[in-house]
Amino acid sequence: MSQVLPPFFIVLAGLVLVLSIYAFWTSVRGLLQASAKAVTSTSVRSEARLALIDEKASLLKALRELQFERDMGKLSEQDYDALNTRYRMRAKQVLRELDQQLGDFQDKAQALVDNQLKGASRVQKNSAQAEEG
Amino acid sequence: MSGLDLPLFGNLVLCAIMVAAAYSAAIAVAAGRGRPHLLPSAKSAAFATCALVALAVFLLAYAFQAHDFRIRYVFRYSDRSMPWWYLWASLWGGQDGSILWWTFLLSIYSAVCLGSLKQRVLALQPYIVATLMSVMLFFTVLMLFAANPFATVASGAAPDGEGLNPLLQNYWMMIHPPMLYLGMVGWAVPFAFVMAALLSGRLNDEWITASRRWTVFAWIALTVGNILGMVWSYEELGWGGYWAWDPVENAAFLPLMSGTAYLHSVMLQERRGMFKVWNVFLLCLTFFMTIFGTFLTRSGMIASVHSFARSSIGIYFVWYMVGLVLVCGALIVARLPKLRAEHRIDSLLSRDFTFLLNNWILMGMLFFVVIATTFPLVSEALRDETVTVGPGYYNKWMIPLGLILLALTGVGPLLAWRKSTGAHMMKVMFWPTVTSVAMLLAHGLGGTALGFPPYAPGDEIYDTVTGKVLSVIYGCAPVAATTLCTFLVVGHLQEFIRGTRVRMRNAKESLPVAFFTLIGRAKRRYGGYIVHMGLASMFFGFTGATYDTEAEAALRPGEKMQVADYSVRYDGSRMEVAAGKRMLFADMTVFEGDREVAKISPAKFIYDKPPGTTTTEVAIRSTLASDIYGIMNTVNPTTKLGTFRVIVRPFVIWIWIGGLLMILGSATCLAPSVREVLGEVPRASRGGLRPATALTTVLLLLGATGLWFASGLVASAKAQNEGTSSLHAGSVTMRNAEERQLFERLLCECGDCQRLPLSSCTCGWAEKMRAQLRQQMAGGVPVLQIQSEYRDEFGAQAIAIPADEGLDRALWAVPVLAIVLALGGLVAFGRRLVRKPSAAPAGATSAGAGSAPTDDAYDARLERELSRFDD
Repeated sequence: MSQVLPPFFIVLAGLVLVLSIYAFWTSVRGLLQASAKAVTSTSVRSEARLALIDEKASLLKALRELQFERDMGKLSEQDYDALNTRYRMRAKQVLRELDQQLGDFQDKAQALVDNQLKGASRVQKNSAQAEEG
Repeated sequence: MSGLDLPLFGNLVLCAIMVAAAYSAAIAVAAGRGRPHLLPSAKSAAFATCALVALAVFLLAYAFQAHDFRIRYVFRYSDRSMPWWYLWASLWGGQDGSILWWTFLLSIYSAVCLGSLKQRVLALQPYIVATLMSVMLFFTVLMLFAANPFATVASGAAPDGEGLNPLLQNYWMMIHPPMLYLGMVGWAVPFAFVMAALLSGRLNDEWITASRRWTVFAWIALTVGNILGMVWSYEELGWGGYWAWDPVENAAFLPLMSGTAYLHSVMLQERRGMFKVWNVFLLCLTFFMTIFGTFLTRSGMIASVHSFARSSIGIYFVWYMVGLVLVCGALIVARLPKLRAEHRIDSLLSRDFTFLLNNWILMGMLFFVVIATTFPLVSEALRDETVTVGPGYYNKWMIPLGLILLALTGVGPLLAWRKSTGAHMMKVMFWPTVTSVAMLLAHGLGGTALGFPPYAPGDEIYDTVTGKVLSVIYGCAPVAATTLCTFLVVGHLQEFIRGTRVRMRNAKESLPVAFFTLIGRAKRRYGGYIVHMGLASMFFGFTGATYDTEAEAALRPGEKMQVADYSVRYDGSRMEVAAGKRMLFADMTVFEGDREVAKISPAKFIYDKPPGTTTTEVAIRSTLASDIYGIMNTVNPTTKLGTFRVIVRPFVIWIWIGGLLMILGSATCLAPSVREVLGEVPRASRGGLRPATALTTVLLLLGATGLWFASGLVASAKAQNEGTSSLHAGSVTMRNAEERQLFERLLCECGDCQRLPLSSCTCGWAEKMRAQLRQQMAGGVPVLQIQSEYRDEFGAQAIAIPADEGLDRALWAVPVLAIVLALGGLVAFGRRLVRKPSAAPAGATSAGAGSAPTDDAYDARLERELSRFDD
């Protein structure tokens, strides 16, 4: 083993050196070629929406736990009903708010589509008129 | 390779790491500040940096294997006779190499973490890269300017090296330090996430979800590292204990406390949107503690059996820690508006509030240990007086805190989240209470007859009321521990049983399906419960120390000594020779009554390098009931006359079983769900599943293997085959517990040795002093009076427990006061946090009750969401 290990570590060192040079080259090339268009954020979520998504998860967790703890005998029916009602109300409210936010996006998307369609129909109309003319 | 100037090349690689890390961090910051297209470049540069670190490690490994004694580090920590595995372990055996190893592990973490993130948390990624690279930059600067592993020997290459310290030539050196480093370094990744959240301002739960598995992984690694440290101490240091509250042990213990507190309090943020500031603070504190621990180990500022030589690197750490405090503090303050709590708690009688209490006691323990560990420095700075805070102090003070933690751990899971109803709570607590009271009675009434008295009064460390109170608490600890452990275990088992029953009833599942589905759908909860039961098992094991029985005797072959219910016969000695050492074994047979139960072979190893270095090898025979721990003090190879010390320590194996349970529980938390395995979970919510799972598997294998050895099942075979070591064992003979108590508190003041306690120092001065003190004790002088006179003669630094007077009193008074005040503050704060019954619904910040949805569509959708929801 003592004969094998020195060349083994040299080979490993050589490999990681090559890897390092390649990664560095990739980085520098990316830096030189990069443009703002190269990467587009996949996230269009606003902070408010993220907060609502977090809250939805915590409310779902809460509702599941309430039910489970009631079944486990840790929570009285009275407490369960009170808490369950409250958390359900809030959860539905959060779902509605999420939908409303999505609704804004949907309206915007619809407007964009409508504009595109209008533009396309105008082009079609113009070309049809041109053909007729 | 003979033509290569390896030291020069190594230095060039270190420079390249520094440049690459700085470059990567700079581009990453630019990517975070409005140029997201630079992120791939920053990540590629980070990968290049990691590869360069690996290159440096492989070069140093080559230098060790090829015996390149031009390099100072290789010269100091290896020689030509060492086998390849110790040459590999030498990589982290000294200061310079251990820092490179730290950086190497960080580079592995960084590469795996960045590689696994892919397109997730894109807004955080630039700052994650920048933080990880900045940490790497610091350690590289440290290597280049203060602890260079490629520095050369001024006098040129020597024909042979000085060799690795024999104390480090054992298999634990291969397992324990890397595991501990893995745990310490691992906290850099969650820290990078929290810094990214603070820097980017995205402080919702996204960073918590993305870093969750890394956090749990770091926690497991640190826990396993600490437990392996205990095993190493027990089996290798040979002084009969597993935790000595050495500053370096404390250094590894501190981040574990804050990390555990974080793992609990972050659940409140996930459920209630509360304690955001606290969670951010805890994670920053945990990372800070890992740096602080590294500083303690490497600066040499505090005396420790583990520490490396005093060096100049301490000042670098100080500046880095100051920088960390300023940056983290400034960021937290700047983000306070976004870190405000969104909700309130429903009741103080809830699991939510016990989590706060859990945080309180964990932070109390942390504060206590920090004060005690740094007190020698404070004392030296304020009054130019050296003091020593020994294990006797910690053992007395940490027991009450530990028992409170055990009680909270037992009660917490029995309470409901949000609100517990009094009558129902009593119902849930019925069986745990009944069984623990039964245990209390059984221990109280029958314990003495079985050799386990419920009250075991300890010595008083102070001649004051505080000393008496502590002594009483210490005395009650065994019965308190067995009672609380019973409560905890029964309560947790009940949670499993009731949960399974609920599933069987509601989902009409069979028992095994219900059981495994229960755990599978709430892995963190039930994994946590298994960890808690591991903790109870460990506490039970700790209790065994109260019932130690030990004996020392000079025996000729064929003679026996009696220890507890066992008699141990000395059969004879034999000398064996291995590479680099001679091994003198004493073969002994253990009898229980007339029945032979084991053969043990404690030994002394005499190393060739440094000439005359001797280590003591213990032999252990473990069973579920007790360990028999054999130490050879001396054996005359000619006359065969030997002196031996044998300790019978009950329940030790339960500590290692507890450790295994902790690993099992943590692995349960990290295990992927069936849906994750089948790929049904969106990538965005996986949180680094594959790398974390792979790392966990490796860790589990390593940890379980280590603990398997630790269980002592192979101890006797190992004692004969492995090179092991001892710092403390063997040469000091103590005749009774009173002598041990006194000698453990008094430090050797000969001026030449390392100021070890008289219980372990073997120098002539210590031997003479022990004889004098024995005469005083024989004359009826109380231990505390002898201690006081010793202090008067040699000063406060000669006592391992600072006095209960003057500034020394602050050592315990400050943390105790802080803990009591914090509890008061917590209750007051908790009351303010509790929602008024008439208050608006939870989180009703953007819409009032009047706008609550009433349509069935949302009810139906909510049901659908609930049916799909996995904990």
